Amino acid sequence: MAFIETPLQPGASLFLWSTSKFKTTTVRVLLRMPLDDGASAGALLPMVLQRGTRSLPQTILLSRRLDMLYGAELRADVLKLGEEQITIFHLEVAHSAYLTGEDPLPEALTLLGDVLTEPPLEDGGLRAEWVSQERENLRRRIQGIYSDKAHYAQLRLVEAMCSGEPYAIPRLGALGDLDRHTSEGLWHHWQETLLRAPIAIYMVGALEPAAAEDHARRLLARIGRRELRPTAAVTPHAAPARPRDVHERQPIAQGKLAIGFTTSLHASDPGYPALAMMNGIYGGFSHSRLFQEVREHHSLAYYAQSQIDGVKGLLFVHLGIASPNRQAAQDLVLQQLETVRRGEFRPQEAEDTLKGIATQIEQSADAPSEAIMTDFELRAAGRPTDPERRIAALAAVQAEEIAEAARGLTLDTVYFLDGEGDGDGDAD
Amino acid sequence: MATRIEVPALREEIWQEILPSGLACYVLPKPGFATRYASFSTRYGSCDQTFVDADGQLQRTPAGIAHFLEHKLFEEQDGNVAERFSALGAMSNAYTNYGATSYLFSTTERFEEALELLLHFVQQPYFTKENVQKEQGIIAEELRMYLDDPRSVVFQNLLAALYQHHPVRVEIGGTLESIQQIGPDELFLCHRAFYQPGNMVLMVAGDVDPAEVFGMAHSAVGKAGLPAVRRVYPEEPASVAEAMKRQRMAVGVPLIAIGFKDDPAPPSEALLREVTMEILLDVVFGSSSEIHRQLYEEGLIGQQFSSSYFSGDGYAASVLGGPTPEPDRLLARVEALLAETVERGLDPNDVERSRRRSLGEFVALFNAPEAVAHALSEYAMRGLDFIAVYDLLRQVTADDVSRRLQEHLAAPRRSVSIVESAG
Repeated sequence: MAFIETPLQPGASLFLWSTSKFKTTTVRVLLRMPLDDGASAGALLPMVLQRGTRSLPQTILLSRRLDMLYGAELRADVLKLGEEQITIFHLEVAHSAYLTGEDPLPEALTLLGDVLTEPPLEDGGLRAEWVSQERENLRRRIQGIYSDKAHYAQLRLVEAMCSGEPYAIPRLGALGDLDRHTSEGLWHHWQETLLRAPIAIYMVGALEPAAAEDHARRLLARIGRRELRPTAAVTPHAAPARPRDVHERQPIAQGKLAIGFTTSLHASDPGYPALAMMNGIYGGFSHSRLFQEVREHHSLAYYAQSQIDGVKGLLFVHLGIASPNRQAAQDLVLQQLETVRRGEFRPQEAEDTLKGIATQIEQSADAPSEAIMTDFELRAAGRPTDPERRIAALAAVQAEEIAEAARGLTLDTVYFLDGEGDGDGDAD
Repeated sequence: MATRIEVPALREEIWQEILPSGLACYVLPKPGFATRYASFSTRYGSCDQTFVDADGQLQRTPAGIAHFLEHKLFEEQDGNVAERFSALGAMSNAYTNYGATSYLFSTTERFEEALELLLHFVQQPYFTKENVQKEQGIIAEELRMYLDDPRSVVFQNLLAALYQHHPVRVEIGGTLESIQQIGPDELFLCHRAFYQPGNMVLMVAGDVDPAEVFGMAHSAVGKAGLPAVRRVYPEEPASVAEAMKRQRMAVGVPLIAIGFKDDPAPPSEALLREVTMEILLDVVFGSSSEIHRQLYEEGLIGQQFSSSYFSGDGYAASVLGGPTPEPDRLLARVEALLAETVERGLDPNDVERSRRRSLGEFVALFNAPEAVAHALSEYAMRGLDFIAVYDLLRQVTADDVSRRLQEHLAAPRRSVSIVESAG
């Protein structure tokens, strides 16, 4: 897999992977905006924009048109990457070689452009009826996070840990901001986004480079004049002198323990592969310390894992445990980190981790959307994208560098969602 | 003899061979893909609690035992199989559903060694009192996790409302109580009964040579096993057990699941039934339907509203639902709008549109060899040919779909499950 970049304008490039490996053509348009108090507007906009276009001004018309293009998929959403909010428009169409009749791609691309640039307008704003309906839908999506306890625990951990930093703003923004968004305000926000956001247009499929560039240029021409925003560095985060301890109770059957650490390495640091290896030994896989110790040896959890946010420089540990086991589980988590810090791991653990990450890297080329997101995130972090180079960099990491990366972790915040006492619901 | 099944329109082929041992093997060659994937599955799920074994003995086993067995097979005398897959650079996993248990891995290198390991460990049980007891703690945590997951609760409550006796009404993993009744003897008994080659399916997808895979499978699973067990299901009445089940939980938004109980199709019609129902549910409740438009504009549903046909050995139902601010009003509106649709009948243009969409989705599925492999294997265990779906999608008529609307949804046998906020 190799995406070829063609710069089209300052801050706007086409990334093309021309391949006949897949049965579809996939196009993603990614717009990067800072994560700030506009986050809920940013989350609301793709929901409103995909309701319809000037030429197909009812949702059901757009949806039925896409069905006729052999179930072409056209959807939009937002993603949080470090301290940026990325708006993603996704189009995937079956390739005409496997269909009878006309090639659905040209019309599908036109619809993508329509959704991006030609929403139906009224009184200088987006359609008020859609805005109010989608505002309620977004409100329910945000409220719905409370139903997903693991997700909720991560959100609350980050809120406590990074309070006052943009990183604490959730992907979908804050509930309290929703009522501020008017039809005119949202339309203005969208025009600002189109004007100022760096844009990456990704294409994967059996496309000639010239044709792909032509499609991308046409899309950009519809977006129009551009005036790039400067990209801001990530707000530095330091762990408090004494780790924060946050405790919350809910009537649930399983407690959720979420622990946040700061790391000394960021994705853009040349030494970053050592942190990736360290995370793999510690909690990234089923052979890792957390899974083996907390689950397999002590039967304390069904899941026990760690993950890194390389852009912000944080490491998170997540466990689902019976509430009375909280202290035992937390002690094990910290104790296992100590052993990695002292370099007490077998060469086999590092080898298994290297193989595990290498497999993930190689597999990302087997799915169009995953290939796109991997490439986009690596470029955003300023890291090499070539799979072989990435694997070589991991293979070159020495055991001492792994221990060093573990010593660079500082315990920042422990969040516990306590389910003690009231667990089994009250079915009738 | 291996047979080659071609799908000319998709330029895909699938190789199939039933080994002398009775094991059914399938290979989907995918040149150019880095991932090689294999699953080794047995037609043994949470519903197979009562059966007559090879010795003619009637066996009643605790709820959740198929899932417990899935967990325990990963354990060997000298360690854990997952670690051995890790050492090969392979990711292993397993799942149990209502009708099957599946063990799988994906890897980019050392595929043959990983396949060897897969074929071997699934056939090698190692259970002791101690390791079974240890697993009870892990599984209890897994069950508690599902008890807190409102999507899982709303669905399982719906099944318990739809079915009076069929074991599909019980959680796949069993209950915190039923797993306490599981010991090494019960596990050995079920392994012997259901992990026989004639009851199993091997599925491989990726850049592999089919003949080599069949050869390896033959060496590892050469011997014919015991004869098949006879599954015993209780007689399930046509009517539902309960019209409504409500539960309060710590949720942010209420959830609803509405089920319409159906008569299971006879085996010869099961595949056509699946295809017809996919189209019918899309036409009636899908994102391009009139009902969907109205419910969405009335603020009763969002993008997570979905519908699907849920069927297996001795059960079949249409299930729809999702998060909603007003479950009771949504239910009333669904009933009223559905009655109007039945009265008005289907528009053949809508059937045509839905057919196109399904065809495009079938094509797109082949981007993901693992997804195709999963579908092939699941269908094969039910005695169905997944590839034939492509032709059926083209052949099914608007009349077929309309007939199902009248049969199934005109006077529906309905149950509803609602999860409301505890706050």
